[in-house]
Amino acid sequence: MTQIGRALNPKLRQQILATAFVFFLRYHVKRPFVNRTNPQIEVGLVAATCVYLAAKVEEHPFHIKSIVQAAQQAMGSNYPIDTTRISECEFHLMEALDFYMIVYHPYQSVVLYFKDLGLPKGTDTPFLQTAWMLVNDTYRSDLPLLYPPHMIALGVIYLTAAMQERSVEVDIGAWFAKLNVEMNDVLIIVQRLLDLYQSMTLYNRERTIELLTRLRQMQQ
Amino acid sequence: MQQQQHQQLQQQQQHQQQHQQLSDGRPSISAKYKSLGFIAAGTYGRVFKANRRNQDSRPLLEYAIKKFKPEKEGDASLQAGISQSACREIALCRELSHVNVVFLEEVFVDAIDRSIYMVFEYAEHDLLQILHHHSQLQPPLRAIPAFTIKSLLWQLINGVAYLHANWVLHRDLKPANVLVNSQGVVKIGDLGLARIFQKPLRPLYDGDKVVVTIWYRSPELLFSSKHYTTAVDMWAVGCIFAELLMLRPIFKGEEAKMDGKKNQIPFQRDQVQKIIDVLGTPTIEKWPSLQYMQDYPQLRQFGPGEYTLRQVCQQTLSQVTEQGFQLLSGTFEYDPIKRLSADDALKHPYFMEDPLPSMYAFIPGWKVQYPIRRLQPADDFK
Repeated sequence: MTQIGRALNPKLRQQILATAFVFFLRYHVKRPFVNRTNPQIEVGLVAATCVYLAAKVEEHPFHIKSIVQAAQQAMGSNYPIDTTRISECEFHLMEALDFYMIVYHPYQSVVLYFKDLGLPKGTDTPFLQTAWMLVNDTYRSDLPLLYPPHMIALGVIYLTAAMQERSVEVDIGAWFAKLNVEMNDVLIIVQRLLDLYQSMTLYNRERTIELLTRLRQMQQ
Repeated sequence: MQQQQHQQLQQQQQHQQQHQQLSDGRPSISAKYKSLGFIAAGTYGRVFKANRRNQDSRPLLEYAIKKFKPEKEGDASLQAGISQSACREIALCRELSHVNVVFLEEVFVDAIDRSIYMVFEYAEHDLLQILHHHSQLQPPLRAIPAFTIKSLLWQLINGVAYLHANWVLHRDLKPANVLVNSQGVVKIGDLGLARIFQKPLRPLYDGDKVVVTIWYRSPELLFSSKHYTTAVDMWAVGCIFAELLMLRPIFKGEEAKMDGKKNQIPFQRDQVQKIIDVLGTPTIEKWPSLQYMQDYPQLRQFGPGEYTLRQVCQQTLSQVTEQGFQLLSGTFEYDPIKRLSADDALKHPYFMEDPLPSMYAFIPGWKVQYPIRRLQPADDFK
C-alpha cells in the first residue's frame, strides 16, 4: 500500500517522501485501513494527504491542487479526491499523529558513519549510492516504526558492505565490532530488508489500484 | 461482538494513557477547558485565556489557548488546509521543552469547523507590556531595575540558546513575543515564523522573503543577504536589551511599504539609516560578506556615520555597566560571523557581576505592579 505514495512523486525531494511514508505508517498504526466510522477517509486519500503535510513540515510546500493532480495521476483520474477532502483529512492525520510531525531520517546518519569509516565522500560513489537507495526502500517496510534512524543506517551500511564486498577497502567488520550497539538488531534490520525485496517482486500497479477500489467499496 | 469492541477500546485508551482518545468520541475543547475571555485577536484567529475544568484540588492552572481560524484562500469553497505558520508552530512546539520557551500542553482540532486550538501555559505579562508600563511611570520608578533587566535578558538568551542548540531559528524576536509569567520567568512565544535550519531542502531566503519585525531586523537581512544564521536572532536580542535600558526601540525606522506595482521587496532605507546613526557605516574591511549581498549597492547613498553606541549607552534611563555595554556591542556586530552567539552571551562577564541574574526577574515586594492582561468577553471559544 505504501507504494501508492511512491507513485505520487511529482518532482519531489526524497526527504519529503520519507517523512510522508512515516506519517502514513504512523497513521495506520492507530487507524484501520478500512475506516468505517469515517468512510470519507480512505487509504489513497491518506497517502496524498501525508505527502501534502510532509511537504509543509519539511518547509517545501506544494499547492494543494498539484497534490490532487498528482494523486489522480497515480491512482486513476476518477479517483475521488479534491482539495476539500485533503484539507479535512489533514486534520484527522495530524490528530492521529498526535501532532508530532518532525521526523528524523537515517540519511544523515549514513553520511556520518561514512565519514567515520573514512570512506570517500561525495554522493557519486557507488557505495553511498547503494546505501542511499537501500534507505529509500526501508520506508516500504515497517522498519521506520520499529527502529531509530541510526540503527536503520547501520543495517543499511552492513547490507551495502555485504553487497559490494570488493569495492570497499575498509575493514567494516572491525568497525562494527567497535560499535556499542546490539548487533542482533542490525542483523534483524538487514533480514527485514531482504524479506522486503522478496515481496516487492510481487508488486503490480494495476492490482494495487484494484485493491484500493475494493477497500473503498468495503468502507461504504 | 460489542463487548469485544468495548475491550479493544479500553485497551487503546490504556495505551494512550493521558493522551486524548482521538476517535469521534473525543472530548471537545469546551469540555476540558473553560474560556475566561479572549486576550488578543489577529488575522490567524484569537488567543483565549482559560482554566481547566475538573481540576480537583490542584492549584488553579491557567492556559492561553490559541485558536487558528480555518484558512480560506480566495473564495471560501477552496480549502487550502492548515496554514504553514500554524503547521510550523505545532510541529516545533510539540518537540521543544525548556523553561524559557512557552510550553505547549496539547493541541485540539475541530474537524467540523476546521479550526485548531493550541493550548499553551499561560504567561501574565510580556516585555512590550512591561516596557509600556514603565514608560508611564514617574522617576525613579520609571527605569527598569538593573536586576530585572539582567534577569530578563539572561533568561531570554537562555531560551534562544536552547532553540539554536536544537537547530531552530525563531526569526521573530521582539518584546511582544517575549512573554513573562507572574513569577518573572521568561517564556519565548510565537514560533509561527520559526523553522529548523539544519540541512534545509530549500534556501531559507526562498521560503519567506521578509522575516523579523522591522525594528529588530538585522543588517544582513536589511541588505537582502541570500543566507542568514542564528545571528539574526542575536541582533534582535541586542535590540531588546537596548530597549529595556532605554524604554524605546533603539532603531525605530519607518517601514518602507511594498510597492504594489512592482511586487518587489523594498529596501528599508530609513531602518538602515537609524542603525548607521548609532553604529556607523559598515565597511567591507569589517564585514567582508557585505559586498556579495543583493542590496550592497544601496550602501553608497548613506553618508559616513560615526559609532556612537557608547554615548547612547551613557544616556540610557537604566544605568548600564561597562560589561553591559560590551555585551550589547557584541550583539550589534555588523558581521554576523563575528556577532556574539547565544552560548557565548550566556558566559559573558556582564552576567558574572553584581547584581547576578535570577530565574525570577521580579523583585519580591517591589512597588511596581505590572497590570494583568485585559480580557475581552467571549462566548466560549468562538
